[in-house]
Amino acid sequence: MPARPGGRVWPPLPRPPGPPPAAKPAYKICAASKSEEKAWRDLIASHGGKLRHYYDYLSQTPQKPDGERVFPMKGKKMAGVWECEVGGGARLFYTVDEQQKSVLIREVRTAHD
Amino acid sequence: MGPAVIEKPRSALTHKDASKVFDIAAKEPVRITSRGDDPDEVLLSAESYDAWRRLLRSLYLLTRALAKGAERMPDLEGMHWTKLFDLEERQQMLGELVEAARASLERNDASLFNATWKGWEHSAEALDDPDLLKKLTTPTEPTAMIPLPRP
Repeated sequence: MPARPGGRVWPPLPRPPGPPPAAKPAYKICAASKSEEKAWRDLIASHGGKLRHYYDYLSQTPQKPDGERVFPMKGKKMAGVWECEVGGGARLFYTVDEQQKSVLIREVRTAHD
Repeated sequence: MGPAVIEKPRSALTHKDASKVFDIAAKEPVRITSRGDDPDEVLLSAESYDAWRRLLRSLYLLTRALAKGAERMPDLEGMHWTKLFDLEERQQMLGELVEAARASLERNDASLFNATWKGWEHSAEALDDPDLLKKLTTPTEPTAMIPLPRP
């Protein structure tokens, strides 16, 4: 803790509440269509906090499994497709373009879909 | 076989810092050791307990599938969805699941197996849904991509 010349100690201030600043993204997050863009915006309204967490995760390490939440799909036809379970039944299906450094959200599903 | 499990004496649960024990248990099982003849107990989160239950159910299905072989796997109750994969894929699935079970046991992490199982099961769901399958597998032009806002 820093001390002034007079010996008085200044306590550090707590960080204000709110989402932490995002690290510089390594991948940009994109929608594959207008309908997925709309579904994304709807998901922000219902799952904002969790979606922010996974937005940041996918923008850094989209091809790194995360427990049962982020994992690759299987089989010949699904090669390269990943799923992210946001929570509350909401799921994202995406592919990664390494050349474009982008994550393409191909399907947004909610518990009601 | 198995990883080292964090151990805490039973007194840690009544200590003023007991919340730290529960913080650890939220991430991995904690063995609560007892004195004398009392049996040790294991503290783990409900989420982790549920994950191990799912793993156990899937292992039951996997054991039956291994006994019957990849060819007859789709005939088994609870495994009909595997008919959406060809024989080569089903053989690959069995191999991956056995390996994932070993990894889960070694690292004390049920999610390794459960995520592999989900990967196959959810892929079968997608293969069974023509609209979803088309969305997931149709090539997309970079110009068609729409940047999404951070929530």
